[in-house]
Amino acid sequence: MKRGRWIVAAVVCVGAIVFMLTQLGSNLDFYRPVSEAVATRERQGSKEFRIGGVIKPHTLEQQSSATRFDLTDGDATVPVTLNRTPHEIVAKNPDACIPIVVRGHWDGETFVGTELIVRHGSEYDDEQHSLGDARDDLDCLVQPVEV
Amino acid sequence: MLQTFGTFSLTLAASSAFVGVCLLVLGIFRSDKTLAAYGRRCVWITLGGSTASIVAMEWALNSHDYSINYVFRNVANATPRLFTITALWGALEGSILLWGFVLMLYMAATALRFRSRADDPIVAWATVVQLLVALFFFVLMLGPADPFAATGGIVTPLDGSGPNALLQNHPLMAFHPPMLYAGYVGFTIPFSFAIAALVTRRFGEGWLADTRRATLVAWGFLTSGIVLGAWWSYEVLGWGGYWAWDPVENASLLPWLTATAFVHSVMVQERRAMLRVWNLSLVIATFALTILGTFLTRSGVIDSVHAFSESDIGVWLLAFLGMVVVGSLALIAWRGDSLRTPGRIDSPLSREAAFLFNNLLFAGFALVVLVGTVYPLLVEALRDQRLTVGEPYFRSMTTPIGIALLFLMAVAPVLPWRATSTEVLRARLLLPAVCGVLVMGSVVLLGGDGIAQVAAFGLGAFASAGILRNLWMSLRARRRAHKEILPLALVRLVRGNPRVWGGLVVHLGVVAIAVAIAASSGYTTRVEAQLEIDDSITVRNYTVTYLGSVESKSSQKQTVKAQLLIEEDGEKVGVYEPAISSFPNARSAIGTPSVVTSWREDLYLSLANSEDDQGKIGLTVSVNPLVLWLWIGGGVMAFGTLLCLLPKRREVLE
Repeated sequence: MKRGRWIVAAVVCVGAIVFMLTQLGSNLDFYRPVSEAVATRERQGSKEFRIGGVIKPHTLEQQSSATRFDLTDGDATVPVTLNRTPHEIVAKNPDACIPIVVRGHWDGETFVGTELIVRHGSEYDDEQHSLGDARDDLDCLVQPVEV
Repeated sequence: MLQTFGTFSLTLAASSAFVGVCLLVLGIFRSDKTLAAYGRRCVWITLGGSTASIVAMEWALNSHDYSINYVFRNVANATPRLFTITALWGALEGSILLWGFVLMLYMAATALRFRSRADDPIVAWATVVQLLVALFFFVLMLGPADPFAATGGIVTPLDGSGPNALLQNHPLMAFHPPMLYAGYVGFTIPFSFAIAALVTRRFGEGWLADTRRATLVAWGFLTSGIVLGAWWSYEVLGWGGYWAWDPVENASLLPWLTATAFVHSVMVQERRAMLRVWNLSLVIATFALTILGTFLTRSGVIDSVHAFSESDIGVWLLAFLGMVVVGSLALIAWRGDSLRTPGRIDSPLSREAAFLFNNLLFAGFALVVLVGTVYPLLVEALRDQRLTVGEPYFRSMTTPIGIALLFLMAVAPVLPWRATSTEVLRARLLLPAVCGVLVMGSVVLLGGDGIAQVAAFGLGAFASAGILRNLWMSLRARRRAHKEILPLALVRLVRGNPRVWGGLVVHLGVVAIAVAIAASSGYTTRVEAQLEIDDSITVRNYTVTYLGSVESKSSQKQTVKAQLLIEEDGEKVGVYEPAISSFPNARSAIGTPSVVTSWREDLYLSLANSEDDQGKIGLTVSVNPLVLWLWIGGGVMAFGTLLCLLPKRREVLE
């Protein structure tokens, strides 16, 4: 009786942990800087991930339903299509170097974005907040972007 | 001047904490009461030093003393008074300063409370542990997190760079962080008594009774701090939600989970003298998780594991965390044999068994959150691959645990200790269970779907009906016996056992929050739209019409407000103005959402971008049901905690 109970408890525990690890494994959300994303393009297929870099000045084009720009990290550059209007800070400062993160996937050599997140200093992005002192503004084309 | 004074106060605090530890330990070992009494006095000197350092920092912030780097980085001449004051906890060094001060307040309160038992070894050892924790934080402030460090340069700057834009946008910022700290820091007191109990071999129920209040106070503050943080996130960040399983949020949730497990399992030890090692472990885990939380939020490790090595503070906090965990575990192992207790659980249908399940679930919950929060850091450190764990992981794991906890919350409070019979269960649970089923049925009939949502509504009704039934029966019995009027009977009933009734009030708050989470996570409608002037959009029964934009400028920020006419079922509700503010100092734009709140639902308006070249604004409109009940539930939980803290009044028999 007592032994049976322990076996049940052990099975439940192991089951729960296996379930947790499977869930963890299937919900990993990778972040790659532009050059790493380019280097691993073949392997990514059409899997979704976050790509990070800065918008190359003078490349932002707003079309009726999409926005196009080149994303760079100094080493590599990727054309990005975003199926929505960009964030205020990007829309109002198309020529400034603003560090951003785009969620999306590869479509050939173009990155198709579904969501754009602006990095405020190093401490804050659109959906994930953290408190603290903002690091000095990044001089984006000189310094690599930290995310 | 202020800089010297501030550094001097911190040095005073650190050295008196050190002297206090030495004197107390010597006093205990030599059984020298005079030495120990001198050691205890050091608590007051440390409090004095800490208070002086807070005064110095506030003075410096408010007089714009930019020769201090912290002031220069966190306020500007144009920063409003409120946010100048709150800048104290706007960044790392200042928040550690506040941490030290709050710790000293708790220690002073503990010293006062135990002044008649000051020579009791358990109290003396607890004071030693508290002083050691204080010492760590004051040394931190003298070293890697120096709040009074100089700005440097030959000329003192004329203006500062101002606080992070997000931190100067909403008055909730004045309350949320101090509440959270008051919660975090408060767990030092039960931790110190747990360690003292291990050292003095007094594992009995004494230390639990001694720290019951401190634990509840800390728990209440932490709960309020978390709810206020969610509210701030909802009102300020403008993405429409209140919880994103962000590492910073998780950092505050982790100690809350273990502490909540502890406030429940304490009752098993008090009543049945079981679960001693478990309770000690929960208290130690809670304290360790507050340090882990500080490490996660304050070392920059979340931004990048590599940023962590840029400042020393991460290494210090990690080392301290390691000492706490290893030291405590070693103590438990050392005392292991004498910790065993003979008690055992007689029946799975008993109060203690329910508490045990509750604890397993809370521990599992904490494990899930801990793994999801720490995993990305480990991967980045070991494989140099950056990733985050997506929300679906947290949702799919925590929803079933949450539902199971709700079920326990409905059933456990009516279970008797030791064992029960089916007749008792039927009498106590039938009516509440019927209520739960009826509510579930109505939710489904009204078009609600999602197993988790429907279950949450049903179990919420089950739990609250159980509590109300319990209250009603007790009131009726009391009124019959004492012939009292209802309000008097209610007050006397609660005063007779504030802990039980306070706990049940907290449960009602939890029900409100659970239902609000279920509704807002399952039944939200969200629409994004591009609107020109006079364009309208209809979401559920609301119509939103864009009337135009107004721009305003102050030296602090530049704000664009979109004026939106809101109509509900064709009737005018008013003009609401979600805004976007740009802060020149921070080169960032912050949206300020506008929320039309009602008991039933919120209409949440958030401006994605102001007018573009074609004169269109980007607007996100969502209808979030029952969100108001989250904040109400938080208030009810805080109120229930206050009730628990009331002293028990023994009635004089007439």
